[in-house]
Amino acid sequence: MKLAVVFVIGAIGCQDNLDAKLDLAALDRPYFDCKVQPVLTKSCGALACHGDPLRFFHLFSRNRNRLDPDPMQLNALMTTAERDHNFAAALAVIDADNTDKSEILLKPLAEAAGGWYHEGAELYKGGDVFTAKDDPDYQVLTDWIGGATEVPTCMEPGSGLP
Amino acid sequence: MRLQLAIVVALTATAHADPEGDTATVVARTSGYLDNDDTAISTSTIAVKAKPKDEIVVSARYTADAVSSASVDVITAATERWTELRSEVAGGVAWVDSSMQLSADYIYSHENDWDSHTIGLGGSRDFLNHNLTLGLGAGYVTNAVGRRDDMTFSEKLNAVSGSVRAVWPASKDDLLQVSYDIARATGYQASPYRHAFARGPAGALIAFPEQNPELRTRHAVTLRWNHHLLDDTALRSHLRAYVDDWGIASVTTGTELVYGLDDFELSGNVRVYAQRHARFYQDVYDEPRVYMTADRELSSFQDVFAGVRAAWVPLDDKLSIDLSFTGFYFRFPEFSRLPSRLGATAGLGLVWAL
Repeated sequence: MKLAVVFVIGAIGCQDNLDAKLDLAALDRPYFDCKVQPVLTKSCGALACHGDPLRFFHLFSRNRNRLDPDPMQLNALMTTAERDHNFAAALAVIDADNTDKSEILLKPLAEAAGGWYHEGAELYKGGDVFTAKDDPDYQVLTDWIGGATEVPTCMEPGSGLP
Repeated sequence: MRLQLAIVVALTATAHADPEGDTATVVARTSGYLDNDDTAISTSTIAVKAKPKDEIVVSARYTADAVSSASVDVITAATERWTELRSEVAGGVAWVDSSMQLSADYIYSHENDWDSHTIGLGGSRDFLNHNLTLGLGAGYVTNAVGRRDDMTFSEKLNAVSGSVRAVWPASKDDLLQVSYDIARATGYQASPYRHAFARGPAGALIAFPEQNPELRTRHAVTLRWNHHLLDDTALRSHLRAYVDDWGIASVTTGTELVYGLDDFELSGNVRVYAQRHARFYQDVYDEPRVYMTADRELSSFQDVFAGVRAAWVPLDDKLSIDLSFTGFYFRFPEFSRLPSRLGATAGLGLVWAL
């Protein structure tokens, strides 16, 4: 049976490159750890939002969602594994070919400012994460996606890094 | 969801012989759908078919779906339960004589985030003293895909389709039909709400916006067999094989036993389906891929539908009132967020021949 299926599909023809690897945006890791991570912790990582492991773009942050489920570790310093995860999660919602259209930029931006619909804007009746593109935290995201870099010794306040 | 609803609608509208009026036929149907993926749908249809001249048949239909869902797709999109109304209007005209039929149909459907226009053309002709019917069909559908409350998102999905079929009586008790269908879709074929998952560096899941290929060509061959068993008893069976260039292959088979008793018609049906996954489908991707989907209908899965229907046809076949119930079970062994789905539909229909 399996042979017959393979034969028929072969005769019809499958498209090429269906399992091609995705090239992610090559963005600066020190800038992310130093500047972007605090923005994500503050604005996205609440347990009812993207601190919920059931949601897409779920993030780890102190006192919220942690890789180690031990409640005694809730406020421990962010681990390298957690930072690796957050960095990968952020790259996953960046359109490497069209960075201006990246989900990480448009989802938290108010619709009036050109953003997408965001359930989080309605959840607490507080409006969207960023009401305008000139929000300093929003600028951190755009700068990072635009190619900004940071020295590896740059340290997020309170992070214990490097 | 869209595909599976179509299957449910097709199954609940079983292939029974509704009354047909000399000048017009009015059909009203309502049905309810409920599954254990927190989705409920109420569907209502009103349809009219009229014969303004002997050889002309015109038809019109309106269908409304009221949908409420908090399915696993909705929850992983960081969204709460949503409700919406979907509407569809259809119109058609056919020219029918004793050995030939030509038809043209148009369908417009509207949802909060989806607009669709469909044009269908068909024709068939009898040969060999009505012992062979050959038919051809063609269709074109253009869809505007949006995203709820997001005016910045706008995509297109278009498809062309064609079909050929042959119908012939194999014996005085057997009618056979074989058909081939081909369809080619181009454009946005993912969901703007869904995210696919890959295993991240810390072992936790990383979500990527769903991305499917923009081309898809489908092929299907279907064999139908209607067999007359006893007085007013018939068996209607079908077998369908499907492949596409995304690597999906599937087989569908089903049968319906129809039993007539005076003014009543009773039937029972069962249908089973098995599918092999699209080549780019993974439940959790081993690494980021260009094409990543979280659509369980692109995974390998199996389903079974079983239903019963009872119709009362009084007034010399001028009126039909029918009740139907169909239960279904889906098994998604490659979709860990919803390994199975159980549900049912129940329907009430009224057909009035004038």
